[in-house]
Amino acid sequence: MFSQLLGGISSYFTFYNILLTFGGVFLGICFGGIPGLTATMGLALLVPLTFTMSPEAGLILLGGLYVGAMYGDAIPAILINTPGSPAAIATTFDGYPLTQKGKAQQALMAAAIASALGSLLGNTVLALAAPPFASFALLFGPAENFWLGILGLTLISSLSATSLLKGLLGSAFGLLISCIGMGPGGSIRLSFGLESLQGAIPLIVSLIGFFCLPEVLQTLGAGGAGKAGQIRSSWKGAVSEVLRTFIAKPLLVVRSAVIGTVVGFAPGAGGNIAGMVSYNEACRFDRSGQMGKGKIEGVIASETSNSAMAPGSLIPLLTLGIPGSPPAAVLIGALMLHSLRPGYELFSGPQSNIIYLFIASLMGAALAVACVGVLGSSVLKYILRVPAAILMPAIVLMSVVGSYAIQYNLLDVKIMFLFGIVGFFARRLYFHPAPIVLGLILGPLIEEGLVQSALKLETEASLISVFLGSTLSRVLCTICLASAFWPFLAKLFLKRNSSSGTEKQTIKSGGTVPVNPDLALGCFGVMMASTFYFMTKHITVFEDMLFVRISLLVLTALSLFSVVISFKKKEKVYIFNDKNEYKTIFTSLFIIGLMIYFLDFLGFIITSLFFNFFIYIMLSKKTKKNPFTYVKAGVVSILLSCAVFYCFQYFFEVYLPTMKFF
Amino acid sequence: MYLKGIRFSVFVLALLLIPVGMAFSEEYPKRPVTYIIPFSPGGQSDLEARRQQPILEKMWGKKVIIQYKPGGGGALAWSFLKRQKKDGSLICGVNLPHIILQPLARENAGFSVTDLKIAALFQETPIGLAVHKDSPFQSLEQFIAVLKDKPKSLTIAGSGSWSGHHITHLLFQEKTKTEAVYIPFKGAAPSVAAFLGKHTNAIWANSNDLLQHKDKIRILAMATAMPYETFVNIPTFKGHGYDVVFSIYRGIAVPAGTDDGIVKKLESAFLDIAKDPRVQKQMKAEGFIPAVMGIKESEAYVTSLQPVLQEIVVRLK
Repeated sequence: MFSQLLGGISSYFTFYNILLTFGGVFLGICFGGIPGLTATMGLALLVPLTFTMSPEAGLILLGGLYVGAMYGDAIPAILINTPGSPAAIATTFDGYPLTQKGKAQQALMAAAIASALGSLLGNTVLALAAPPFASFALLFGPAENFWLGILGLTLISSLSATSLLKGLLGSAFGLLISCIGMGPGGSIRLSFGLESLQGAIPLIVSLIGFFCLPEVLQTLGAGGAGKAGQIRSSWKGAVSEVLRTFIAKPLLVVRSAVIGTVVGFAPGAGGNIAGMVSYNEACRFDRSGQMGKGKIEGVIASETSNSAMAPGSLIPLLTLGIPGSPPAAVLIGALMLHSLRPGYELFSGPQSNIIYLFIASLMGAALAVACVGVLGSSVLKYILRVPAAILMPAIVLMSVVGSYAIQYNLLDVKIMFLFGIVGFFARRLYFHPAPIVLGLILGPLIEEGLVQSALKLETEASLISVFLGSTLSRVLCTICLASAFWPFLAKLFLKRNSSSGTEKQTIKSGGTVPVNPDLALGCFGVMMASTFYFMTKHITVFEDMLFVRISLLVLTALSLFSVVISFKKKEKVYIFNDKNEYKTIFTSLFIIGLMIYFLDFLGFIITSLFFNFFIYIMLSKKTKKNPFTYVKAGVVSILLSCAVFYCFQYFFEVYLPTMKFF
Repeated sequence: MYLKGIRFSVFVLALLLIPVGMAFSEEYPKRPVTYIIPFSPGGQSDLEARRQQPILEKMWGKKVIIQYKPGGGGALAWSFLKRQKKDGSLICGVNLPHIILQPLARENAGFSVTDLKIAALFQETPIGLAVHKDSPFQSLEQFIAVLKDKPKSLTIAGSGSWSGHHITHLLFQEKTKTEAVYIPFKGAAPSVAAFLGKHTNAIWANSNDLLQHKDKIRILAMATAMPYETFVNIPTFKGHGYDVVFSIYRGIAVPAGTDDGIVKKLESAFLDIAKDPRVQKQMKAEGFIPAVMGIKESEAYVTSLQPVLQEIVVRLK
């Protein structure tokens, strides 16, 4: 196998192949870096292009895109606290604090190098040991997936060390929201009578809503100031700081890569949680107590792991023909169209040279990511220097486009807006969105595993033989228990600061609208639980109800507990710093709402133009205003709207709404 | 006098409009055509569309834009299609039996089969029942015998609830007078993975998956009317005396009420692609049966299928 890999590597090194790789990587970074565009969409878009190429060239291009996208999603995570794809959630935990400290460049570089290393290690496993690992992937059945999902939920305990209760509440919200749409038994649940809600709410829409919009509102509320710290260190200084971190922590990289590859195998689990699992482990081994406050190690853990996941998910794909992730599903289609049939024969048969060339190209792509990332970080950091009056509208426009493009559904944009408002107020109550998104990711996995196992009960006698029948499910169950109780054990035996992924926002005393956070969240939870209960009361299909009922029960219990606690703790926080912020935020929400409301009728260009104009004027309120400001605002708005519209149309083939009455 | 004048001008206007109407359909497509996929990217419907996309673009000289609207087992896209302009600028992939089953299985699907006009069906995917290669079941008879002896003692994986696999399962139970436990998965790929990992005893699988994993599985029977040409030696349920015949069809549709000329254009375009020997060869190698069914044949098939499915759903729901 090793010699075959060397053969692959040596035949990879041609100018044409390297050009293809760089092209693919560049596209991948774009698709990964824009929240709402996914690697899957990019791959699907390229597949027809590869028809005219040789199978080798086509695969190299697609592989480059896949690897590039795995890095690209870290860029918005670091710069604007919004993961480009669900896989990069954990990258925000330390990446954004680094930006706030003025170390955006270090974070970007670390992400690129970590991504490349993760990819290289993952691909080495893929090249040398795919067949034996493939059979491991098949061990994941309904019960194992169920335990894997529960294991994912135990991450909350470390993601929300400030308040475990809030973390649990958040994930219960997430679990329930994930029930919207079609259940395993075929009934439509919680659709609010809307046809468009028959499908689940796309993960990316919630992600943009919960992460991106609150961040924008925060900045707008502060009058567009105080976003990122000053970038102080030089390029050279940044490089040496990042490299020193890597050299000091080789174990961190290896551990994260292993976690990523292993999680990548499990069909259905998806790489979405790979980054979080490995971030969690990094916290556990961290002794400084600075995780979550801007440590390069946090970025490394998350990015290494989510990039190692990609080759991991290719293992079951190439050996068994079972895609471990959505982008892998597109790749299998591309393989079939070039009449490469997945199977063990791919690695030993006559077509093995193509596959090893493909793996070599993935490694090449990893190196390309490192180059592009390290050099590009000096360019990317200038995004932070763009004035808020331009950057903020641009981010909002991207959010709108991103949530629209995922399935061309205007309802998704409205949901994104709603989640954004919820996310903003939740954040002001010291409530981090990560547990909600975790619940959203894991809900379907747990539900499917639970329902399928429950159905299996009809044949097998006991609960134990279904849920703990295999060795893997017993192992996973044990890890679940250990992981759930780890924070308590750690507190008992090891006296050290437990780290947290949530940052406390400092709100000055003497603001407006005082709220007791536990009481507010508890009441919200009770309201949501009762609404959802009455909406699903009529459904009788067992498969569709089991998980909803359990989640409702959990949410009700947690909410009531939160209410009880609130009377004891009597905590009080102010939602708004002052009257001015209060006004600005509601004005901004009104303008964004208007834009979304008229989007379908007036088209993207017109609505976004007005939106840009108003935000620009609003943010320049503090400085002197003269006619020239309005002219400038107009020009900037027109340029920005048209740039976004045409860039998406011609470059990404995303067609935005146009005016209806022409 | 006036009346005559009005009549005459109406007549002239009508005459003038005929060529306009003809030109309208003749020139189709005037603008880029949006091709909606009711499932996720990377699925079989997507791959089929990606195969057709460059050929269509060459044929029409216009761009073909592929968009995804997954959700509700396809219902999201079809209820969307219903509300779109009837000018052929938006076409949508359809699957049978899905478009008949979903409005039957739940009242809030948002569309009915009469809201869609099928222009062509271009691909058939037979369904088969398979067990693992090292399974004790050598034949369908043995499998049924065990179920007769102990009802609900075996699990069969399949893709989705009220889907092609689920209906085949229900038909199977009815015709063989047995009961097995159907375990729904979110798609064919995860069901195959769970089956290969021996988390279920058997699987309802599409012919392409059966072909791809043929070394690791034993196909007990195919739910086709005639022996399936890729697996000539494998018996059909019919051959065993059980009338279980069911396939999944893929095709293309526009909103009902679209101009006939446009539907005809689409029919001929998609059937030309379906007849292309290169495309047919690729499809067969992947494990599908190329279908060439136009407007009339598709409509006849839907009409014949509808009462059958209605009866099953009403009785078993």
